[in-house]
Amino acid sequence: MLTNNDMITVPQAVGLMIMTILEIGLLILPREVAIYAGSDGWILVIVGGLLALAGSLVLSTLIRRFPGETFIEYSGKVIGKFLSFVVGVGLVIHFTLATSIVIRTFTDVTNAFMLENTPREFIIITQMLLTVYLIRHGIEPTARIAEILFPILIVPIFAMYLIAIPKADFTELLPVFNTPIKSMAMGSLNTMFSFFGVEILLMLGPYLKRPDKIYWTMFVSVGVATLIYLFVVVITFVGIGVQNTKMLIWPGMTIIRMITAPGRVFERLDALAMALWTIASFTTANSLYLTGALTAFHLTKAREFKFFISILFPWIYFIASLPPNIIATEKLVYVVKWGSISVGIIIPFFILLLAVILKKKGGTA
Amino acid sequence: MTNIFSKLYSNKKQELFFERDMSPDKSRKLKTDIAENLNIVNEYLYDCDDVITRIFYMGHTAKHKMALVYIDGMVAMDTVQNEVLKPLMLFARQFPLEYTVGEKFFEMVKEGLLTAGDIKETDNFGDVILGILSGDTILFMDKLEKALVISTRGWEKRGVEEPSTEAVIRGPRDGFTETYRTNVALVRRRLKDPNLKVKTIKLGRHTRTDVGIMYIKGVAKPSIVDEVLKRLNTIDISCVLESGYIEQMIEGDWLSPFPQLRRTERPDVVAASLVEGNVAILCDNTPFALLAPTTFLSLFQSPEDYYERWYIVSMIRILRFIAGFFAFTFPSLYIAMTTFHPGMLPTDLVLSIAAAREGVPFSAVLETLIMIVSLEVLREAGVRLPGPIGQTIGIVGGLVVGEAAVRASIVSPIMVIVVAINAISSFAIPNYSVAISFRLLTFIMIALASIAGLYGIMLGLLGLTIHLVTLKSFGAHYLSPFVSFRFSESKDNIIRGPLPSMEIRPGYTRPQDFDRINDRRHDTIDKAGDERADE
Repeated sequence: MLTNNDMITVPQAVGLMIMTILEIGLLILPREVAIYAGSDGWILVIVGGLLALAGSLVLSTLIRRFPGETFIEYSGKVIGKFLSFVVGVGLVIHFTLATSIVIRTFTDVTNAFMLENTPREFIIITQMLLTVYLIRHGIEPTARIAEILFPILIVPIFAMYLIAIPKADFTELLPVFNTPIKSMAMGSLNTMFSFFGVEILLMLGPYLKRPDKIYWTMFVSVGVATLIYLFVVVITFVGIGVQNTKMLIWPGMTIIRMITAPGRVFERLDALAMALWTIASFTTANSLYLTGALTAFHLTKAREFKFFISILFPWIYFIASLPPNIIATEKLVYVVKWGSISVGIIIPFFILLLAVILKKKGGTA
Repeated sequence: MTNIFSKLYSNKKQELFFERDMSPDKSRKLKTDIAENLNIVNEYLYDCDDVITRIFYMGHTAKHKMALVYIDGMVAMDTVQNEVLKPLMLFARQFPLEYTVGEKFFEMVKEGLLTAGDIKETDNFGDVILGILSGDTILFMDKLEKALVISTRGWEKRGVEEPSTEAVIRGPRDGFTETYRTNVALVRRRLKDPNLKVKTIKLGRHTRTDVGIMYIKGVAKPSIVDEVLKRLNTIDISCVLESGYIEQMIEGDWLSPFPQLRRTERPDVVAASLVEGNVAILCDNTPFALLAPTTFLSLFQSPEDYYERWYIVSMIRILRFIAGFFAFTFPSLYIAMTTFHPGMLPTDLVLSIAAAREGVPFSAVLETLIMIVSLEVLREAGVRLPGPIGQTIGIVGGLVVGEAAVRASIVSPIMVIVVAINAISSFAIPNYSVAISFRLLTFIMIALASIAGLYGIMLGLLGLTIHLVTLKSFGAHYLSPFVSFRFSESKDNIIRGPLPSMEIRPGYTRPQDFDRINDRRHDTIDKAGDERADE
């Protein structure tokens, strides 16, 4: 078992959730919403955020319904041991894939903006080693890291994007409500993908110190993440224009490249942006990797949790170095996003539905 | 990691502490015959020429044989003369004593004759030998199986002086000395609280050093006190010459570059920490006390922070953190920026750096290493040399050699600036141990930056954060209050809030009594009071 006091407090849970959600979306979300809805993109972020909130409500309800149990345990009660095992294996695969693409996307961005000549494998390996060094300590230190790094990430992001405001052209946000409902719906669903990461809640149930405050925790986490995404999208739109946003791979990064720090300390702010991006990617990889190992740990009912960190390591490395180029990585990202929707929201939703119908409930402990 | 190393190096000692103890244990009882007793003492302390045995006869008829044993130089001779020898040899002769040797006689000597302040009786050789070696005087009496341990400790010692490593502009100037009792008294003088407890144990098989822990009962968390005592009792070491031995023996993670106990020379710091719920460890023969648990933040604090006004202190603290950051990252940032990401710097700056580096044959990494290593050598040389020569070394090294190196195109002028800022920043950190750790981390960061530029620096910083987050000092998070954050603690971390607003004690020590300051000014001296004062 894990160390006995491995419990996370409410602020830590909030920090962990936000830091898990925030990553690739910071860079690619402006492009995606621009493609779907043009200048209405920012509405998609709000709708997507609401959808993600609804999804996290399902997960929170499950935690409240089966206190002190992980997804593996309560799904076994509801849909039977075999099916729950299959879903569990699916979860492990999903978290492995998710960790891989987070690390891979980070590597791609680093290769593109910072270290052009550094071998990809070096960046993947160093990033993974750092993650392993942390998650070997358990859940609570991982949450503590997220809690500490949260302000370090958020404050500079706001400061950095705010510098772009004087050059902004707010007419880019017009016209409003000009998009057909169908593409709005598709776009919202796609935006919801950017909130992938909330599914780590499936495994965190028994490790929450205050499971009774889980609704509040999730409301704050998803709400803050939505606001940050909204901010980034709006600033990107007004900063570089909706049409330009559609054509860039990582518009969130490009806008930072364009702005100059006041006082001309730095010619461009990529340095700072890359530093922040490292933090965002690192924290996400941490929680996904940790949750993957945790899932495997609960699935096999093993005694040693750290063992699974080592087992997942080569697979994550292998998958992360698999895509030959950025396009292939993007395709893999879509696989993970669908996986996130299915194992993170659809399957839990059905399990919750079944649990309600069959009147299955966890103990009160 | 720790586990592997401790497994590698553990040579589990089965025998107990006292079995390998050099002095006799307490089971060896005193004999009746005084000559026999002195023989046994001599058995332990033969070839110790500084041990003085004084045999004399007491009483009117000079029939009671007695002996004093002490070590020359460790006892206050006037105490031995006036409080022990004089009463026994002179006063006792002035009137006839009709007692025969026995219990009553012993009581009379102990309670009626000796004028020394602190007397204990003992019946075994363990106490006797330890007493002699600690500077006590032992009084043996013929035909009695008991002896008296008279506290006559007194040796040449340094007076209370201003602490040299923690100087303050405003604040008390007295610092700890090398004498344990003086140090305890310096703290006691500040805390006239019956709840201030002092527990003394002896550590070191050869040195038998007095090591005391101080805490305030009802404030310090009992589990922390127990943990400190438990760890102190596990120490099995041949000698304790400085509190640094204890620090390294009881800290949790000895692979960490950061000290997990705060050391201080100042009694006011100890007093303040005790009130905050810390436990202080005082050690004989050293002016440095240790404080546990410690947080990373407290190593960036100076006692003066609480004596000055809060605006100024807050600004100084923020400056210290900036300096602390530059103290280990500045050269690596320079390397990363110039070799990996020159595009991130303003064009003019890149051009001037390039112009300055023209003619320098080395790469930026090698150039930095040359400068940093020579600076470290200068620092080390300056520490060892006495004051005036140390300054000369500073001037010769810093100005003359630096200028010459730039002229000779071995290093660029910008490099000199970078290294100088790095060094100065590290000395802005109040705690010398941390400053040194940061100087060490500089090298690691330089290595990382030269491998992977800014990404390497981020790796280093994140790795450092992970290390600090998982580090604990006696059960307290090293990074508290930043982890498990509470709003009430936000008034005394990076900034120092106004003193009246700090209503509770910091939470990392989990004090039992949170109540720190109640600002009652507004209840008692309201506006009317001010107006009265105006009149």
